[in-house]
Amino acid sequence: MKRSKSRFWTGLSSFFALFLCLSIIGTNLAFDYASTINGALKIQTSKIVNIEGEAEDTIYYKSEYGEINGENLKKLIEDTHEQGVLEAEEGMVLLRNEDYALPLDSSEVNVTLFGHAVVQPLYRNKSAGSNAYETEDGVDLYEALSKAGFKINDQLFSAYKESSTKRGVAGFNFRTQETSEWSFGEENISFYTDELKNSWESNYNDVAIVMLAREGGEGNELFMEDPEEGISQLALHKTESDLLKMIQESGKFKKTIVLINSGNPMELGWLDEYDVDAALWIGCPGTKGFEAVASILKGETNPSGRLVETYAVNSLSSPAVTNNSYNAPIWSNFEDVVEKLTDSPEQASTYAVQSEGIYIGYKYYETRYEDSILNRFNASSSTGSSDGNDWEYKNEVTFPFGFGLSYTSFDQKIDKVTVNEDTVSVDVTVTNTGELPGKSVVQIYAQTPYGDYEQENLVEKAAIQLLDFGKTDILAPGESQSLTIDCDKYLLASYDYVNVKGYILSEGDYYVALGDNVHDALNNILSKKGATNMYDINGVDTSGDSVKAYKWQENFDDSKYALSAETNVVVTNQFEDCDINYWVDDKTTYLSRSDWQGTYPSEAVKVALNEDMISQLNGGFYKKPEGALSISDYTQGENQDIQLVTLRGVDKDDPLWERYLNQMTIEEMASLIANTFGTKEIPSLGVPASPAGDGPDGIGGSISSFSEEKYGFTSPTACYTNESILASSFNRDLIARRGELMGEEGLFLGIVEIWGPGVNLHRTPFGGRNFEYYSEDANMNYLCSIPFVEALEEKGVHAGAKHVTANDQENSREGISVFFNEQALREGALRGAEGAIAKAGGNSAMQAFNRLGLVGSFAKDALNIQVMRNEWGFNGHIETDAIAGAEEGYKSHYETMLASGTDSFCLDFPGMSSVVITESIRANDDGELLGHLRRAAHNILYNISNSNVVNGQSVTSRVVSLTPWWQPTFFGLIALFSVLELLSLLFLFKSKQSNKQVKSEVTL
Amino acid sequence: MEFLRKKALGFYFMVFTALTAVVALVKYLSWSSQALSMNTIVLGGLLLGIVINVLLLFKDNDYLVIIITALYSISVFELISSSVGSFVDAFQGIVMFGDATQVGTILSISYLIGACAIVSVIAGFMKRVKN
Repeated sequence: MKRSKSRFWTGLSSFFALFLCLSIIGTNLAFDYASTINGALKIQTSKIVNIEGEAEDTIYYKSEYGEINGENLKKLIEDTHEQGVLEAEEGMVLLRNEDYALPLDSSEVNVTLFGHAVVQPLYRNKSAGSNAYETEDGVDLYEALSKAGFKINDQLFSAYKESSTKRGVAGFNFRTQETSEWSFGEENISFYTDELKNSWESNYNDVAIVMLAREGGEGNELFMEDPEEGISQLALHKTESDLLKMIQESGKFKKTIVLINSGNPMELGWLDEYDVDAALWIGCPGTKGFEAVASILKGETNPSGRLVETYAVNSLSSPAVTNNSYNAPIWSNFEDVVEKLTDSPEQASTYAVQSEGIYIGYKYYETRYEDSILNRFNASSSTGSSDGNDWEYKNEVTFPFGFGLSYTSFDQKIDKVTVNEDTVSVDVTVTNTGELPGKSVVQIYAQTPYGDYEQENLVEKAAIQLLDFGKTDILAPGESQSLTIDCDKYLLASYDYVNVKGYILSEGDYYVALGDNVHDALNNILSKKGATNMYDINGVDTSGDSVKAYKWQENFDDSKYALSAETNVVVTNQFEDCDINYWVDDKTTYLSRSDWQGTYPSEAVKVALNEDMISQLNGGFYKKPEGALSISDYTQGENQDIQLVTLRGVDKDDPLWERYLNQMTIEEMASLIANTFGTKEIPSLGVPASPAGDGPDGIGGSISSFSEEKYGFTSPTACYTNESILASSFNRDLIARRGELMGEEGLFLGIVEIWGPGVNLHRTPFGGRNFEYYSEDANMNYLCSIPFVEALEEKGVHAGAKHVTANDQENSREGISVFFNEQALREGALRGAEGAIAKAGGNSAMQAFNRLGLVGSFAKDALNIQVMRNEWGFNGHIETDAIAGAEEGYKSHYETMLASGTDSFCLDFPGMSSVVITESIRANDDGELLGHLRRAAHNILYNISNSNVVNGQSVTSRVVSLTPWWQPTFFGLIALFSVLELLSLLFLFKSKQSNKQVKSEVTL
Repeated sequence: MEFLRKKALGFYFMVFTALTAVVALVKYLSWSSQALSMNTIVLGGLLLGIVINVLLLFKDNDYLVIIITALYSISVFELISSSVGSFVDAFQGIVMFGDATQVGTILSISYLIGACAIVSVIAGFMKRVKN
């Protein structure tokens, strides 16, 4: 009996030991992820308490809906849904419409939906942002068409649903407990049994609607050679061609319509081959966007979207593909030097030499086209051609940038062009010459001179570039509208990194032109130049239209843009060490139109690391400088009773800020830099908890729904259309409205900032996150960022452009060394961020995961200090991409990153940055680093004080901490299991003592 | 044989935990060296647990059973806790905080160590040496 008691207490003690370990480790983990838990449980960790009777109006950022309450939230949600549909209606692009196949006749309602994507629609790729489409709000193609009155072949639809085929990126399925490989996700032709074929034999055969999807995502680049067929993921696959052939050969369908459900441009040269009547690019339509598909098919909406990227015949023909994405190589001597790489070798193994220079997307195809038409610069050589023959544009491009059809036709004419000091003003009249009402996009393109100076000094010029755009209202047949588009002359300047080391205006002839797409506009310019032998996008001879082009001259000018327009500081080379030729002589020749044959990058540049490069890769540059200040040289922790809200609207360099920062302890400041989708409250200083949302096409992250406690119901934040659909609308008002509505959502959520817009380039068509960046064109990124950011900031929600900069591929994104010349960077990858920050006044910026040259963007002074702060006048805070509490590797050099201009560390759940910085300052008595910490705190607090988070707070208000209920619960569990463990151990001990006593009595 | 004749069912449970823990250790070492994510707490907990577990087979002691449970528990919960980034990625379908494709392996190792912890609790209630 005594022994069994011992066993009981042993077992019980073991049992409690298990739970004690669970509760301790679980608590530790829960506290690391406190902000995520609070967000998920919609728990506020601080509140503002005002003195009773205080009448001061403290709502600094007002909602257009009035009071922040449930009733108004419902109105906002309705508007976000409506916006999602509007964006899709205006952004989806009609690519083909043979014999006016669309809009469908009112009798054409019996349809069969083909393609696995109809049961697995790609609302959006997996990434940051809202997943509202997964809720009951989500509308798929079937539901949208059904609601619109279409009668759908349910037998085939059900068969797709029941099929085990699934499209997927690599991952783990918790339900099936299986690790999945990437899968293309289309049915084999054997799936279509005779029984299924009978389902459309005599019914549902007015229209075959085929939906094809291409999925990438965050960390998931699309394949150049996919695991299933070994071909480009963007090419038509055998399962798809078999399906199209089956539909074609059945001869049953009156019409075949293809929907391209993808954030990446598919290769569509096969539309003729399978007698496709109409094709519509629908992108990733978000929660409600499929409703627009129904509306466009029925003709209730006249499509007006235009492509924001080039649809190449062969996606691999882009020169950017040679060195980027899957072709980004590993250092040729990596194995030999790996032991010298102290900074996490796997994050230092890969590099990409952007030998394509400025020639991304249409800038390559169209520039080479002009040179081939003008028979110069070896443009027609076979180098870089898709078929191995002499290069011809018509064999390379299926649909150009700016392309898109309408159900009606328009005439656009230039009324007047006025070249001003800072703008080029273009007056255009648009007339609807067709028979249906519709909107028309006015695309203004430009060409700048490429003369001897440019060729000698490696200043590259695209033959054509987007300069600006506008969009008409809905025009009735015969109706006209005049638009005046003021184009920023700055976008005509070129960055000369060789001679002037700054922006220049070239000497010679300048052109602006209208065009239905970029190729059409270029033909108009060529016509103005008197060129011949041009052809249109179908390969049909054309003479262009010189009336749609305007020419003027400029003198060489290296002073006009020598100084930053925002800060008047000299704009000059900052990234010379990001050119691979800086490290290894003549390692690459950047693609130059002066010799297409000799400079086209035919293979990836092979580079071996040398000692200097290894030293850079190893990072960790920060050392306390000689003669640095001491901690005691600063005043910290001196209470002056200044609350943060006092600084709202106060200039950033006002001395009051220094007095405010003097109140803070080092630990309080350090607590701000470890960002966990927001910052924690500091009640004594009036700093409220300031959550952040992750975009860009909806608010996600730790807060992605509205609080039931606050509003009486809960609802997810909106998932709008993907960013490139929004850009394809070419509608500034619509883009601004997205900003306003996301700002309103931010007001109702009480968040300080949203990580968006996405401002990176579609450098190659394979980019896994292309869907959440606007375009392949840098100027488009620039122009689209501005209205979005301005509208968002207006609501007191800061816009956080991401990812700055050159993060244009998903594979190897963490630590990849990206090399480029400064012209390509400034006119390319940087320009979207420039629009968001310098021009629109966005107050947050998220850096990119990649290295700029050999140094991570988190530690790149040139980017963070010289460009963003000094040139662009950026006042807000600069945050890393997900640092995730790194303890090793290039993301763990917290002192270096802080000293290089980084202010906060994204998703640093364990607070590693705070700990390292605090310890480093104290251990080394490092006033220099403390100065950087003060700067970072200043930048973060400047943003908070000038955001809606301080709504309701006056100078006499107090911020009060609220302890989330789960925290004491966890501590209670630890206490409970500790007590139970101790008690059971005690009883075990007593029981064993008793056993011993019995044993000794028996022995005696 | 004489040695085994004195052993009760609980002893065989502890043999099971020792063997399972060794399998888990081998799997963990093989995986973590490939995934470059060796966690000293997980490894230490497992190694120490196995050593004490083997000792226990030769010299039965109630307190050691409790310690073994605690060590295996620390090991499994630390493994899951330190892999939370991969679980987040798997739930969200992205590649950011960890590696979603490793979740299957992490779970399989966790199941093994977790089984050791649970079986050692059960063994604690049982007779391991016959009277």
